[in-house]
Parts: sequence; C-alpha cells; structure tokens
Amino acid sequence: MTEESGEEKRTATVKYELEKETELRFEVEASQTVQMELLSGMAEVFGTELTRNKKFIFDAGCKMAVFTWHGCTVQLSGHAEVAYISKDTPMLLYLNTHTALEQMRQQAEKEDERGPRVMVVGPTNVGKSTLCRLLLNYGVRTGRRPTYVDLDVGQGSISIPGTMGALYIERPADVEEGFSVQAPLVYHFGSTTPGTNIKLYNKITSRLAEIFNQRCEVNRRASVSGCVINTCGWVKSSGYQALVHAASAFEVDVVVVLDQERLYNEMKRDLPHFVRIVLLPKSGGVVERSKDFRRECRDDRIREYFYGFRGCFYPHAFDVRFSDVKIYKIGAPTIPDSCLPLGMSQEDNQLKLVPVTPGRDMVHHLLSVSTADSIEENISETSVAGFIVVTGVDLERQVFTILSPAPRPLPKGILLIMDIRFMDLK
Amino acid sequence: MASSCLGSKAQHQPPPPPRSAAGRLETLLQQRLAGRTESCCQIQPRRAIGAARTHAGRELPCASPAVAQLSCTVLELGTAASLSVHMAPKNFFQIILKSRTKSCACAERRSGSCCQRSVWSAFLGAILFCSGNLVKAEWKPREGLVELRSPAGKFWQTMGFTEQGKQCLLPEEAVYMLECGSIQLFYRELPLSIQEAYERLLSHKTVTLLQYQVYSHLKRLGYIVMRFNPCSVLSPYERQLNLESHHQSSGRLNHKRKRSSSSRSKNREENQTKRIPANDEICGRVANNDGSQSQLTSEQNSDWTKKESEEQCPTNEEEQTQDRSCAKLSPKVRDRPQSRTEDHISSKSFKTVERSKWDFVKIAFPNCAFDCSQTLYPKPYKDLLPENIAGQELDVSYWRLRVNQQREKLSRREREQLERECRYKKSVNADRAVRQCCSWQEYKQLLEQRNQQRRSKRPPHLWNDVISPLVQSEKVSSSASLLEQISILRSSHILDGAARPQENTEVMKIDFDVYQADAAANFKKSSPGKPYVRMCVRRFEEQVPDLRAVKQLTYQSEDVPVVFALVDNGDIAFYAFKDFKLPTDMYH
Repeated sequence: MTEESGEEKRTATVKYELEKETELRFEVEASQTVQMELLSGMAEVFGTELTRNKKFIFDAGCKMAVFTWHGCTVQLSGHAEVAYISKDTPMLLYLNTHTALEQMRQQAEKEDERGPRVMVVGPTNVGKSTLCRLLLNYGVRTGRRPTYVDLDVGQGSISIPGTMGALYIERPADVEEGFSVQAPLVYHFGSTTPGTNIKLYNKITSRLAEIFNQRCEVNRRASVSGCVINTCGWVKSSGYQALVHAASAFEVDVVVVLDQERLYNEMKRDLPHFVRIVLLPKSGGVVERSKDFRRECRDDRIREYFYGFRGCFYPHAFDVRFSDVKIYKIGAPTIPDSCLPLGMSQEDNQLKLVPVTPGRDMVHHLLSVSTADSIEENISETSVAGFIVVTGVDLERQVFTILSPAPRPLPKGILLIMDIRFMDLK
Repeated sequence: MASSCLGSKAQHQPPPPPRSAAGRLETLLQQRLAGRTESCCQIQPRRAIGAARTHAGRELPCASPAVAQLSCTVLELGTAASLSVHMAPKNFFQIILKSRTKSCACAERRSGSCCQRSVWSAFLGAILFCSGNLVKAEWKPREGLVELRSPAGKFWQTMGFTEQGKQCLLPEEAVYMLECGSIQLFYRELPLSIQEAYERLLSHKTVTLLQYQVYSHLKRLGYIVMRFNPCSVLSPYERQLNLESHHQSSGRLNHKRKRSSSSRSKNREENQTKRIPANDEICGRVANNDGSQSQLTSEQNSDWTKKESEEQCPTNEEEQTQDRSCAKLSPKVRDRPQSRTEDHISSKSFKTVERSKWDFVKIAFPNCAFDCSQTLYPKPYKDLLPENIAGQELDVSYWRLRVNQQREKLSRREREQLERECRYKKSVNADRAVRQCCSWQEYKQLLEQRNQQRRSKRPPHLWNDVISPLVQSEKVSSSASLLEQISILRSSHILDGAARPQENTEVMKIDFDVYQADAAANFKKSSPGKPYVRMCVRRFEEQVPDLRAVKQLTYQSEDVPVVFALVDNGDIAFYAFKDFKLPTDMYH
C-alpha cells in the first residue's frame, strides 16, 4: 500500500491535498467524531459528491474514503485514527463497471427491454455493500432509478439486520446517513445468518424477485435502470447455493465477484453462459471487521431504527396485552435428525409458523409487525410494516412493554419474533 | 392336611380330590405365602385372630401356621374386596370366614390337630350366626344350572336369569354365591359344601375351574361378568350392511414396487469431460480480430487454431455451419464442440442460434480473472458517466495480481468437497442445449422441459410391463411418500381378512363379557349394552395365540377389546394385544 502521508494524525485540524484519482482514507477513533470539509476541487464519498465548504461529521468507528477524480483539498478536524492518502484504488475498475451497466441501460431503453440486474457476490469484508452503494450512486447520478436489493441479513443496510428488502433509489446516498430509506419493501427473516433457515431465505429471495418484476412491469424507469443486489458473505456450501438461487430468481445479467477467484470459477460453472461474470479486486481501503465490530454495527443499526440518525427520533414505549397480538416464529426449532420420525426431513419444518407463548425469555427480542391481517395469509412471504422491541414482560398482568417507532396501537396483530436481541441501553 | 386344603380353597385352587395332589399344593402355597410381605403376615394374623376371638370368645394359639396362612389369605381377599365397589368391606371378613368354615367341615373332620380344630370350631360359630337368611337353591345337573327355591337377593340385579318362570343361576354364579355365603346349595335334598360344589358344578360341560377362577376374581373386583354369547355379535353379513369400518384399510392405494430410473440420461454428456473454454477467451479473441488492442499471446493463438482444425472433422454439417456462424455472430455461444454423441433432446426448439440480449463484447465489463484476455479497456464515453467524473483508459493487468487477497478459511471437509466438485461437477454450459439458450427464460424453460422429459422418456419395457421400477419419480413429493412407495412391510389392521369363514373356532373362544362396576346401578341383564372388555380365559402354560386366533377373536368381539386372562396356579394375569400405528410423516 502506497501511503503518501502515512503519519498518524491526532492533531485537531489537518489539511490534505489529494491528487487526481487518489483516495483519503481515515477511521474515526472510538468515542470521537471527525469533521470533514472539502475546501477546493471535487471529491466523492462512495459515489456521493461532496458539497464544497460543508462540514460533514463522522461518528466513532466510521471508516471513510474520500476519492477524487480531479484532485482536491480536504480538511479533517478531530481525532482520526488512521488517515492516509492512497493512490492504489480500484475506483477506475468500478467506474468502468458502471459505464458498462450504463451501456446496458441505454440499450434497454432503446430496445424497450429490461435493464441490467447486477449481483455483487464475495466473501465477507471485501466491500460488497460499498460497491453496491457506489454503483447505485453512479446510476442515480447518471439519471437512473436503480433498485437496491439487499439480501445480506447480517448487516441489513435497508432496514435492520435479520431482514431482507428492496429499496427504490431516487437520490444519491447521504454522505453521513447512507440511502434515505423511504417506503422500503422489507421481509422478515429473523436471524443474522441465512444458514439458520436457508429455505426461508431462498423463498424470500424468490418473493423479492417476484415483487421487483411486478414493479418493473408498471414502472418503466425502474425496469430500465435494473437493480443492484447485495448478498451475504457466506459463499460456501448452502450459502453458495443460495447465491445461485438468487441469480436464477432475479435472472441476473451480471455477477460481480469481489476478490475471490474460486467463487468466480464456481459461478462460471454453475450459471448459464449468457450471464456475464466478472472478477474485480477489492479496494485496499477495505478493513477487516471483527465479529464484535459487526455485532456493534448491528446494534447501532437497530438503535438507529428506533432513535433515528444521531438520536433524532423519540420512540414510544407502551404496554401491549398478550391477548391483542399473536406471536409466531417462522421455522420450528431444529431437532437432531435421529429424533425425527421416520420419513420426515428437517426442512419440512423450516417454513412452518410456530406460535410463541409470551414469556420472560421474550425480553429484548425484536419483533416484526407483519402486514398480514390473518394467519391464513402466507405470513413468511408477507412484507413487514415495522419493528418493535420487547423491553419487559409482565406475566401477572399479561402484558409486555414494547419500544415502538410509532405510538399505540400496533397497526396489525401478527408479530414475528426474531432471534436478534437488542438491549435498549445507550 | 386340613390347613393345606383350606389354603388351596382360599386361593381358588381346585379342591384336591386325589389326596396326593394336596401335598404338592400345600408346599406350593406355603412358598407363595412365605413370599408375601412379612409385615402383612404379622399384623393381619392378629386382627384375624382378634375377630375370631370376639366371635368365639376363646383363646387361640396364634403360633399355628394354619392361622397365619388363613389370615394372610383373608388379607389378600380383603384387599381385593376393598377395591370392589358394591361389596362392602366391613362384612366381608365375616363372609369369608363363613365360606371357609363351611367348606372345610369335611376336611376338618380328618384333621388330627386339636388346636386347628379349635380354630375351625371358633369359626363355625360365625356361620351359625347367619345361616338362616340364606337363599336356597338346587343344583340340576341335567340342565346344567341352579334353580332358586326362595326369592333371590340383591345379587339378582347382575346375575341369573329366568327360565319358564323359574329363577335360575348359572353354575359359576351359584358357586360364587355359595362362596360368598349368599345361598345355600342343595343337591338331592342335601346341602352341598363348597368343595362339593366345586366338584359337581364346575366341569367341562358347564364352566371349567379355570374359567371360574377368572370369573370369581373379576366378580370380587366388582365387575359384572356375563357369559359371552356369540349370537349377540353381528354376523359378517350384518356388519357389511352397516358401515364397513373393518374395511377401512382395504382402500389403500395399489402400491407397486418400482425401481428408480438412474439410467435416464447416462448417454447424455457421456463424453463431455473436456473443459470448455471460457467465454472471455473468445471475447478477447474477437476483440483482437476487430483490431482492438488485445494482448493475445501467440501461444494461445496457435492453440486456438489447432483446436479449430481439430474441429474441422465434421460429423454433422449443420452443426458445423452453426458453429461458424456463432463465431461470427456472437462469440459467446461459440464453444469447442463437445462429443458428437450429445443429446438431441431440444435440438428442435433450440436449433436457431439467437443472440443473447447483451453483447458483452461491446459492453466491456472490466474483469480481472485470469481467463479473461482483455486487459485494456477504452476510455468510456462521456454520456455514460455521472457528471463531474472523467473517465480514463483502464489497464487491469495490474489488478490481476491483486485479487484473492482475502484469505479463505476452509475446514477440511469444505476443502474436500470443493476438490470433489472441481473434479466431478460439470459446468452447466458444457451442455449444448444450455449454450443455445440466450436468456433466463429459455434456460428455465429448458430445465423444466428436461424435468418433464425425464418423466416421459421412459423405455416402455421398463415402465409399462408388469414389472416396473420401484419408485415413480413424479409421484414422489416428499421423503414420506417415497418411503411409502418402497415400503415392503405394510401396516395392517387386525381385522384385515378376519371376516373369512371361520374354521375351528374351537381353538379359542371368548368366555365372558365384563362390564364395569360403576355401571351396576343401572345395569340391566336383558340389555347389558356394550361390554367393557371381553375375556378369554387361558392357562398360563398355553402358547401365545397366533395371529389367526387373535384375528378371529377380535372379529368375534367386534369393537370391544379382547383381554386374555392367564391363570397360573390361581394367579390371574391379564394381557391384551395392542394395535399401534407406525409413525408417519404428519405433514404430508
């Protein structure tokens, strides 16, 4: 890695002169903030252009990269842990990927066809989400309206972790907040790894594809702009099969494999020839995220859902009677194969709706509020209206206290319980 | 000797007419009594003796083993009676004593032991106390029944019957009532002792001792026991007229044994072992021909031409021209021809080679993979770029060395699986038909078609003959249905085929209908209703009934469970066969 000014800066304000096609990477120290300002020239953060002389504030743990195509001056003030300028960035490759996609969109527009559908795959910590954000931002900036499909249940960049969803992108992502989440389509998965219920995962994937196709039929612009699909970092065995299934469900045209040749070869082997599969390097700026860090990110994501970005929302806390709601869990608990009755396979239970009796163990669990009106509807394939978290259970009074983004009452009575827990501490 | 007879009666052993058998029984009984719980033997004797004392007002030698035995027996019967519902335990002890003493009158005469005699004389006082209000009855050996001479007591509710205006009792009922001390039985104008009643009334013509033992045992437990009447059960024809509940299981599907079709497409893809060149390779080459700046090595070039020349040996002209046109049109679909023995399945529907929607030669995605020969990408057009971004020429050769930076952690198993896959798993594109698809719709259609063909393309000699494969793949929707198809052992119902004409019903027959005690209040002899169980009395030494016998009995019994009462030297154990279902997949 070539570092031009590699010395760690801990002083209050530092100015960086960036040459063209270089990148300033920095991390924000724990419990610190960093203020960034573009003084001159043009720069972008993951595809979003920076406004000159506007101060952007980044919170603790943020890992940022400011890239410039033309050269610029950036000023950082605060405690940036590592801050260096790197020349070594695959942005040009990513940009060329975008131009190729744009060519496809133009062709689709001309021939009244369906636009490109890209799936980004790769192991964990290679910058899949960042590449998606980049491609989407570039797409929006060239006047398209691509759809972002997030199949990564681990991080959940559209909604909270443990969900899968799709988002129609109309403007570039905010430098600080990311894509503005307005009316996303979210499905409940319930866990942070697809391995817990791969059948449900594949089913929701198919369902999302179906919904996206429906949208494409009515919205010409969405159809031409296509979609960018973010996937899980699990690329072995069942995880890999889920990727192939997603490719087939969405009928993808391009698969971008990040930084793993094995996956590239396997994709070439298992997807039909008309799907273009390309291998791209990961950016040197991608940092390995530890398990703990991922968990923290997840927690932050959920906190942000309830309290808003930097605590701009005030969630409601109220009691809900047990009798007013029905709580279900998708997928019966797995039992060892040896305990199953003859002729029954484990998967038979994976889509089953199991009623959950409210109890103490429900505390801190996240619940999805399903939009379904009755149990007869296909609950696992019904989108989710919102999420609540159980903060207390009173068995005597038969009520539980919840934290909800909206005031009472709950819009619908059917709740789906997640494996994910959230402690409302901060 | 007296004590042994007594003990045997108490246990409802056959009265030993040959005296030689008595000795054996005595030892047997003593063993059994000795095996009983000590504490009972210690407490109960005193109570029994105490009772005797109150009646006789005499001192009794408590050390006598006969007394101990007797009281133990009383205890046993007493506990049985306490379970009984309509036999009040308070006067039970008295009844037992009465019957005991009566029956032992003759035995006692021969007894030499004076202390024993004193015990029995003490008990005799007890009978004399209440012999006046006994119902008198006469044994009629020709009819095989007992006729009552004085009006029946309360027992008439659950026992006896009326014949030609006369109240009669069945032999087992009479013996039981005699044992209970409710009737006095006469034969040829002389009262019968219990032992005599046993000998005279219980025979093969009427009721065997074995059956009587079960009868009296159940009676003591409070059950209402009636003789089983085969006429009360419907005939097969009558049953057919009603609901065919016993035919439930005959309506099952005709499962044929089928064999799986693994041979279905063996010849297909047989020789497709070569690797297909990647599309990119060809893309790069075409780009080269177009005069663009491809960095094709001469080695690759020669390799390519060599392959080309190899391919010139045509077996199928059409195919070849197709190949050529592919190369010109869209190099994507142009692959090294595979073995000529490829399947011709979808050759009709996919004959015309269509262009894929996207021309990825013109739409150049940067690709750092090693199988992609294009390394230089031209500067993108302005209109493709977002504003404020200037595109540039791109050379990926530098980036090629920078992939696979992330180290992959694989477990041993995963590694092995990957290796296996690398070696054996073929590319979907090795299939010519797949290569001719140019969109997902066509590809999915092809897969669907193949699935259907798999079903329809079957050799008739295998599938339409009498012998057919074990498993029909299209009928298998779940593992449960598969298991059902291949199941050789099928579950059956106990009544399957039981309606067949029943030969030698003599082998086994149902002896008693047993009604529950709590029904006693509104029990009617004329319409007893459905029994609780039906009892079949067997000797313990006898063999376990075979399936046919069980079937016949079950059939005779209709929907009432059949219980086998096994008598082992006076001990009665009850057994029943349980019908159970093998677990099945409940979700299908």
